[in-house]
Amino acid sequence: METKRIGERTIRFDSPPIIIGFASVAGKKEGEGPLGNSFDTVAQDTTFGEKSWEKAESRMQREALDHAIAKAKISSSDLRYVFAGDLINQCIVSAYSIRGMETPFIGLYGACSTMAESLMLAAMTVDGGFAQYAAAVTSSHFAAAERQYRFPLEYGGQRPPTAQWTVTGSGAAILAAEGRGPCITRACAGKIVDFGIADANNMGAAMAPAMSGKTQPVSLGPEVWVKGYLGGKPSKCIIRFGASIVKWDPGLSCRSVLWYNEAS
Amino acid sequence: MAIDRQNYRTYVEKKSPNSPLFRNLLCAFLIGGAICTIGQGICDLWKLAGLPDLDASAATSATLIFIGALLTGLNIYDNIARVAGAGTIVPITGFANSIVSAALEYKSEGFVLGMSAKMFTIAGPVLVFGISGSVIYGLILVLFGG
Repeated sequence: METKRIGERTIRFDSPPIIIGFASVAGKKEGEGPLGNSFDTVAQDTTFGEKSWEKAESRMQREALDHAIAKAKISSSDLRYVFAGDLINQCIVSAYSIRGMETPFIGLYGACSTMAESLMLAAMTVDGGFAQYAAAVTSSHFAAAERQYRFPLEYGGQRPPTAQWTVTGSGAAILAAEGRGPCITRACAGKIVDFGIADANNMGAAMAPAMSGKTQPVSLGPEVWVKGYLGGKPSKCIIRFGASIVKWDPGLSCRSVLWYNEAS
Repeated sequence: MAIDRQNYRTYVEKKSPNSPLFRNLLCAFLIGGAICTIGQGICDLWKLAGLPDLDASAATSATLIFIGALLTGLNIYDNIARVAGAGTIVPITGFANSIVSAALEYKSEGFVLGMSAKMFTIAGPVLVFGISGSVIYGLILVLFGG
């Protein structure tokens, strides 16, 4: 019985899980950007005092999670699951970050979508009655990603204008069945859409088609739109085509978060 | 407009900003040319120091490789290369950069299996085709060149 499904890919939570705490850690460059003031922590040293970039990313991710747990005013032993992912082989960054916690860990890989993916799965777990508290965590580190996917940092290459810059940052959210805060009312999972873009320096164009398709825009009254873009400097039309949208509704008792395609 | 696999690529090509070709070519010409001019200067200096012509050329290559490697280690070469593009990749300094940058990057994975094994991840193809090419050239020379 698909009682919580309201569309081909969209689901609605009967008891919307509440985000009772969230935190972010970002790198120096991100701290200098337009969102600089909204991060909980901006690290001036992107090595985080570690000897490898992967260890640095692990430490950053754990910092974000610990901070979110503290802001949620719960103990880490209250968490039933940690849904976490990153970009590095075998999700090793998340595994090392969660290491030492007694909480069951569910490793995820969704590349750029890991935050939405972990939020959705954590929300399903909480709404399904499987957990009172669950965490959704994601991180990426520019230097670790460059090493894995591109060239050594000191290699003298030239980036084309469509090349992306992997964010150094981590975000963590604690979802709860009860409490105060923004809540997740609906979620829509993406699907693999391959339009044959083979240019590793134009990942925005490769990812954008997955945002289109049969998703249902849902009107919830007065809305404020916050747009996030895929990629550093893609052209305006690709931004519009591939925009990832967070929908806020201050008119409701809780805020709703929804990702879907603006163009549909 | 309905987007499908066929027209999407055309759409992306049309909408994606192109590389500034004229600026890139000019920078590559000027900086690549400057590296070659410096190389010529070094060569002349070695000759002045008394080296015969052939040895002076070899010493020049070694000197340029050293400078390229040093600038890579000092975190300078990639900054020049961001502007110069092919101007810093094509000269022998670029070859040095590709090896040293990989060595620095993979140092954290260990001395033998990290740095030593992965040092040639970028320069590898150049060596494979360079050495294979010279072997074929040598064979042709032996067989038909007399």
